[in-house]
Amino acid sequence: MGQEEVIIKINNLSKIYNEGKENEVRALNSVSFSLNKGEFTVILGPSGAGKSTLLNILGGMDTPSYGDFIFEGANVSKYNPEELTMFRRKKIGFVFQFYNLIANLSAVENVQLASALADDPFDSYDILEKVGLAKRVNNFPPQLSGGEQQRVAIARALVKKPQLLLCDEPTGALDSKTGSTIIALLKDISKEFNISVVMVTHNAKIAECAERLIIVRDGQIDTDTVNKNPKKPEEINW
Amino acid sequence: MKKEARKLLLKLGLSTIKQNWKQFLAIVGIGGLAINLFVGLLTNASSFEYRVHSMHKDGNVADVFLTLDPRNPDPNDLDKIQDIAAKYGYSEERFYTLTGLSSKNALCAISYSMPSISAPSEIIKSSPKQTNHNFFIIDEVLCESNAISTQTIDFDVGKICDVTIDTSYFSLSEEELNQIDVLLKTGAENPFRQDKFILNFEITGIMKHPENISRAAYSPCLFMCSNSVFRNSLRDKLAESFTELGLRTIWREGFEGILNWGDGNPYGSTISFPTGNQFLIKLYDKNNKDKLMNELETYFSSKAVDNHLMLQAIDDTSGGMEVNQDIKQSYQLAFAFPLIFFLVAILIILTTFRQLILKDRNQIGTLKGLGFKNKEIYLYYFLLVGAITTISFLIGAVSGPFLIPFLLEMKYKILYTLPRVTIVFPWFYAFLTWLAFIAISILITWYVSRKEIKLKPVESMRPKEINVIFKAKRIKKKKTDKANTFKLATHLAFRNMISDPVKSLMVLLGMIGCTALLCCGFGIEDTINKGINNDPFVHSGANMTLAYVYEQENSKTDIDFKIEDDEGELLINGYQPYSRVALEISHNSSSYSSYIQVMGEYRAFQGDTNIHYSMSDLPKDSVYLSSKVARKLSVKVNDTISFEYSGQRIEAKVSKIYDAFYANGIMILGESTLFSEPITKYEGAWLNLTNKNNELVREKLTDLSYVGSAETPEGWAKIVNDAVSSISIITNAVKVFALLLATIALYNLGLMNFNERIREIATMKVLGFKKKEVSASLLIETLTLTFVGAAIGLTLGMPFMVTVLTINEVGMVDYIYTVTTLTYIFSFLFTFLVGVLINGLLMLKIRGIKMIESLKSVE
Repeated sequence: MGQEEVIIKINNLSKIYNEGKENEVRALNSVSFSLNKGEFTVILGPSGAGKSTLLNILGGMDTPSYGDFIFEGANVSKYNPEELTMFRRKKIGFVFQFYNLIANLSAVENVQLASALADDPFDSYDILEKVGLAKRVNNFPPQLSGGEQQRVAIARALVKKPQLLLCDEPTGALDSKTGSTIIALLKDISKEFNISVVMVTHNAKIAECAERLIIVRDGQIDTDTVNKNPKKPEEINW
Repeated sequence: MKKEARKLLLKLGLSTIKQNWKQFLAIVGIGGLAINLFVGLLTNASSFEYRVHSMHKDGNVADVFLTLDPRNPDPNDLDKIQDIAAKYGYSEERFYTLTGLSSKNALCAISYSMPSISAPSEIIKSSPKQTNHNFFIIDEVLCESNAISTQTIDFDVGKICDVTIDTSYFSLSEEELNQIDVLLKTGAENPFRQDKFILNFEITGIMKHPENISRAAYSPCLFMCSNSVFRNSLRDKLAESFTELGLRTIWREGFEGILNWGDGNPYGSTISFPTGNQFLIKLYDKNNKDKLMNELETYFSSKAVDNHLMLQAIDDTSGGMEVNQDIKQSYQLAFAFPLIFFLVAILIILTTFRQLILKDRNQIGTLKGLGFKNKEIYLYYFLLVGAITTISFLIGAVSGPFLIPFLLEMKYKILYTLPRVTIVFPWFYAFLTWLAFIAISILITWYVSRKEIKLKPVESMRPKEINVIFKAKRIKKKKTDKANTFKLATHLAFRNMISDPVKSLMVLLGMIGCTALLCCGFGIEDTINKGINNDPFVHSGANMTLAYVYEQENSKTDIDFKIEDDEGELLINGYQPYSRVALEISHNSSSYSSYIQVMGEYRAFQGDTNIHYSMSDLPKDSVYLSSKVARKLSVKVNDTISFEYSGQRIEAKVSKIYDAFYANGIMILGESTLFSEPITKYEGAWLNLTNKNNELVREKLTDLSYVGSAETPEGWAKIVNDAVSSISIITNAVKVFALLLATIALYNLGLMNFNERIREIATMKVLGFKKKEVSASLLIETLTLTFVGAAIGLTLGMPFMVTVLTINEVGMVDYIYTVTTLTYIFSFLFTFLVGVLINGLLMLKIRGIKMIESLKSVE
C-alpha cells in the first residue's frame, strides 16, 4: 500500500461543548489520524465515545473547537457555513441510521435530489440498479422495506460521486441479514468507485470487515489499526 | 385520577403550550379575531336596536300615522278617527307638512300643546321661555352643518329662523282674497296672494325626536311648534301688510272664522289653516295594528271623497323602514362576516392538534404504559384545547364589544340621530358561541386523537407507519439527464399539498378570504368613485352648480347671471335652471323618501343655445326614475308613481329607469305636461362658463344676494364623497381583517410545514442544498396555494362587496357596483405579497435548523 493517497488528515482535533462552563463536555480531545483514498474505515466505540461527533465534523455538519481537518490539502476547519455547504455538496456522501428519505419523493426522485446538486453525477437509475433496486425506482419510501430504504439512501449518497462516504450506524435499524448485505454493498462501492468510506458503529463484529479500524474511547483515539485481512460481510457472525 | 397525576398532566400541558406557543398563538389569534367580529358585531346590532327602541320609548313614538289632505278637510273626520283610535289605544292631532326651515327642507309639526305621542325623546337645550304651550323646538341635526347644503346656518336656542308657509293651506277663494285686500296698508301686497310667505320664529329648544332617527341630511327632519307660537308669528307677519284695523278684523275673524286658531281643535272649518291633518295613534296592544289600519282604510274608502293621503305604521315609514332594515342587516352582518374566520380557526385547530398528537405519540404510549386510562388522556387534550379556545374567546369577547360598535358608530353618526353608544353585551349569544367553539374544538381533538389514543402502549411507542397515498408508477427504464431541482421541488410541493388536504384547505380558505376581502375593500372605493364620476347630477357637464337662497327662490323667474369680468367680458354663457327637492314617492301601497329633480330649459346669454346638461331625452309626459327608488318601490318601466310637488298631487308614468349615485329619485322637465302649469321657478342652476376662472365666477356669484352657494363639479364630488365617508371606515377595517386572516393562515401553514419537515430540511442541508434551494418546495407549496386561493377569492370579491355595501347602505346614494381590473390586480398582488413575506420570514428559520440534532431522533 506504498502508493496510498491520503485524503483526510486530522491534527489535534477537539470538540468541546459549553466550554468554560460547569457542564463542559469534551466530546473529542486532541484527536489525530489520517485516512487514505478508497479505504473502508470503521470507527468503533461505545455510546458517548465521540465517534458520531467525529463523523459529523468529517462530513462538514459540525466544526471543531480546536485543531485542523485537512481534506485533500484544504483546511475544512476554517470553512465558513457557505463553504461547508459546498464541501458537503461536492465531496461528501452521507448515509444515516434512519435513512432520512423524503417520504413524498419516489426512490429515484430521492436520488435525483442529490444528483441535481452534482456537476458530474451518476445516472440515478443506474445507481439504483447498482444497489439492487432497479424494479423499485418509482416506489415511495413507505412502500419499501428498511433494507431497501437504506439502499436508496446509499444510492442517494453515491450518485454525486463523492470522495468520502460517511455512514452513521447504517445497519443499526436493520436485521443482521440485511445489515450484512448493506455492508457488502458499501465495501463493493468503495472498491469499484475508489471512494473512501468511513462507517461509525458500536457493533464490534462489523469492525472485522474494515480495512482500517479506529477505536474511539472518551473522546480520544484508543487504537488506529490497519486490517490486512478484512472479513467478508457474509462471514461475520452477527 | 389521583391529585399527583392531575398535577403531572397539568405540568405536561403547560410544557406543551410552552413548546408550541406559536401555533397556539395562531389559534388564539384567528379564534380571537372570529369571536371579536362575531360578538362585536352582535353587540353592535343589539346596541343599535336598543338605542332605536329607547328613542322610540322616550318619545312615545306613534304606532300609526294617519295623514289627511290639508287642502281637502272633512269636518266629520275628527270624531270618527278618534272613535276608531279609541278602540285600540289613544290619539293626538297635529298639523304636519313639508316646509322650509331657513334654507333646509324640514317637516313642520304644529300642535296645540307639547304632545304626549311622538314627543321629543330628549330636550338637549331649552330657553326659559319654553313652556308646554309655548315652544319652537328644532332637531339637533338641523344645528349641524349639512353635507349637501353648503350654506352655514346658525341655529341655536334664542336665534331666529325662517319657516316658509304655503299659502294654499289657507284655502282662500278669490272672493275672500278680495275681501281681505281692502284691509291692506297702502301699497302693500296681499301676502295671501303669494304662493308662500316667510314666518320668523325664535328657537326655544333643541331636541332629539323619535321620528328624526334618520338624519336630516338625507330625509327632511321634523321641528315642533306650538299653536300659540305659530299664531303670534303669523300675526306679526300679517301686521307688516295690513292696517291695524285690518289686522284686528282678520285676526278676530281668524279666531272666529277665517283663520280659526282658537282653543280646542277646529279642524274642518271651511276657510281655515288646518290645525290637525295628521293623527298620531298609540296602541295599547301592538298586535292590533292591522285591525286599526283596516278599520281606518274601510272608513276612508267608504267616503265619497277619500281625503286621506297616507296611513302608515311607524315601521312602514321610510325612516322606520330604513332603521329596521339597518338593524336587521347589522344582525345579518354578525352571522355572515365572521364565518370565514371561524372556518379558518377550526381548520387551524384541526391541523395544529393533529400535528401535536402525532408529536405526542410516544408520550401517549408512555402515559398509557404508566397506567393512565384512555379517557384521562382524552381529558388532558380536551382541557388543553378548551383552555386555548377559552382564552381566544375571552380575548375576542372582551375586545369585540369595545371595538366594533365604536367603529361602526362612525357610520351610524352620519346616518342616524341616536343616544350615545350603550354596550348591550349579547350574553346569551356569547355563551352559546363559547359553548359551540369549545364543543367543535373538542370534537376536532377527539377526531384527530382517537386512533392514536386507542393504540396499545407498545404500538404508540413505535414509529408511526407512513400512509402511502401515492402509487408507484410503472417502470419505464430511461436514462436521465441531469435532474432538475425545481422539478423535484415542484413534485414535492404538490405531493405535500395532496397528502394533507386539510392543511391545504385551511390555507386556501385563508387566501380566498383575504383576496375576496381585499377585492371587496378596494371594490367599495371603485363603486363610490364610479358613482361620483358618472352621476348625472355631479357630472352633468356644467362648469358650476349653484343654489339660490331659499326665500329668494320664488321671486326669481329669470335670474340675472350676466356677470362680467373687469374688462366687461361676460363670464357666463348661459344656465339651465333646476330644482332638487325632497319628497315622498308612492307606488301602490308603498312609499319611499327621495328627491325630485326638475330640469328647466337652457337660457343662453351668448353662444350655443341648445345645451342640455342632463337627461336631454326626458319626455314631457312622463318621468324618469332612479334605479334605487324603482327597486325600493318595485316600479318597472310604464308603471305609475305618485308624488306631491309644489302643492300638486301628481300621478306620473315612468318611461325610463336610470342609474344614479346621488341624483336619486324622479327626473322631470319643468315644462312637463304633468304639471298643471310649467314650472318657472327653480332652486338653483347649472352654469355654462365662458372661461376656466371658476374661482372668480364663484366669488362674483356668491356676492349676489339671491345665490346661496356655488359649487364646481369637483366640489360636488368631494361633498358627496364626504357624505359616504363612513364607508371608507368599513373598507379599511375589511382590508385590515383580510391581511390579518392571510397572515395567520399562512404563518400557521409555514410553521406547520416547517415543524413537520425539519428532518427533511436537515437532510437536504446535509446533502449540500443551500438555504434558498431548501426553501424552494416550501415556497412552491405556499405560493401555489396562495395563487389558487387568491384566484378563487377574486371571483368572490364582487359578491362580498355587494353584501357589505347592502349591509352598509347609505340612504342618499345608490351604488353602481363595479370592481376595476386594477382592484383585481392589487388584491391578487397584495395577497401574493403577504405570502412571499411570510415565507421570507419562515425561511430565516431554515438557517437555524441544526442538522445533527434534527437527524438524531427516531422518525
